[in-house]
Amino acid sequence: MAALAETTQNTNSNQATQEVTHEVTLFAEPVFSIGKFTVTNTLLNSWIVVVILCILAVIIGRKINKVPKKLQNAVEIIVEGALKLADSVTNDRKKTLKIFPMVFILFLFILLNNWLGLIPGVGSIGYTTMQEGVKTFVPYFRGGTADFNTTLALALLAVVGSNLFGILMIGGWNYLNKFVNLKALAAIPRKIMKEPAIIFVNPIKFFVGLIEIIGEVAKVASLSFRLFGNIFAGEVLLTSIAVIFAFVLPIPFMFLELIVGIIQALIFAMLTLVYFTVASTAEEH
Amino acid sequence: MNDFINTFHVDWKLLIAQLVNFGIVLFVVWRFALKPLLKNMTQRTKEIEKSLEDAKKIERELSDTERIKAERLLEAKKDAQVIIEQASAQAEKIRTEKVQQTKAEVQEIVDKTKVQIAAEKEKMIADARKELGSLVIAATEKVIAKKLDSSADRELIDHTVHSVK
Repeated sequence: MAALAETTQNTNSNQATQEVTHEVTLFAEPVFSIGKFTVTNTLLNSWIVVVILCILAVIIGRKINKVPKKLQNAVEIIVEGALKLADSVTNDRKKTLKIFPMVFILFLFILLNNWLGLIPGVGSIGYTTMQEGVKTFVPYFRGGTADFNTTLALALLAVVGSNLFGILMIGGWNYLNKFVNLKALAAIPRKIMKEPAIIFVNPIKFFVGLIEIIGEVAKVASLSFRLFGNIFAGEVLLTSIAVIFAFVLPIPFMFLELIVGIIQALIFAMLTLVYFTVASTAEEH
Repeated sequence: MNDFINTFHVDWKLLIAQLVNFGIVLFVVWRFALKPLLKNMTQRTKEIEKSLEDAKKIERELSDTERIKAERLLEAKKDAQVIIEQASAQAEKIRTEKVQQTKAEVQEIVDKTKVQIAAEKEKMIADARKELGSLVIAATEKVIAKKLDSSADRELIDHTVHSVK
């Protein structure tokens, strides 16, 4: 019996090597390369996003009217709503207007990248290639944010951008003191006679500042992994559901992924907004 | 760290490529759509605020004008009333003056007439006396049929006239 089982297993695995494996990999597959630069399927998808957004921007920007019509009206409603939302975080229209373009365009870019991964054909049209003796299917397109490179790039941009913005807004010395709190240390000898508790409080402040440095790294990790994880998980989910039954059944999950796409884009943008806002406020107390 | 990079295929070239992608989007959307759109929106907000303000101002001015108009009208009515009162008072005054004057004139005429009548009466009496005198002379002459000397005659006549009187 055992021997028989083994042989069937063998035949099965032999068959598998003959068949095209269709698995969702954790990383983006290279499609072609220009010189030394390998172009992956996620990069292709991102390029499509860039083209779409640029065309949209030019179309909207070309005929901006005092009295808005149709498309402009819809865009203005969205922008107005986004501005209000941003105002609720920053509590300051001037600051909002400084941060808003970055955050809003980040939102659009991520949203479109998320949603473009859901279009039929993305992830299902591709070519087969031999990889380690196994015929593997490689899709031409793959949702841009289902690649850790994309999300890491955006997260780095958000966090580094927020730090630069903080330096610009409150000055280098003030900003440095958020992390290496020299001000708190310097205040100890001056104020120790008035309030002796300062000898305990300010060293704590100093160490909290040091922890903030780790916090900045954690921000990058949380932003990038959250987005990547959600979108990648969505792709895996859709593929799995399609394997179970390819018709009708994936539709509710498609809607779910649409919602996940917008929520994740919103979360990324809102967190970036919060980071920018926090970075641009000087340390209190 | 290497395991991590291998698992997720983190490639700095791809990372930069995605950054460039986002940079392009950021620039194009900001430059061509968002910036003019925001500018337009803020401008419109300002304009709407201004026109609302203007409308309020106009309304205020209108109500002011109406109030002034009403005030003027009231004033004019009052003035008219005063003028009418003055006019009627003056008319009354003139009327009474005229009446007085007329009365005085009438009085004057009456007085004059009285005086005239009295004078005429006197004259008539005098005439009558004179005529009576000559009548008495004639009658007496006839009665006496004899003429007295003129002084006695005169005395007699006067005496007679006095007694007649």
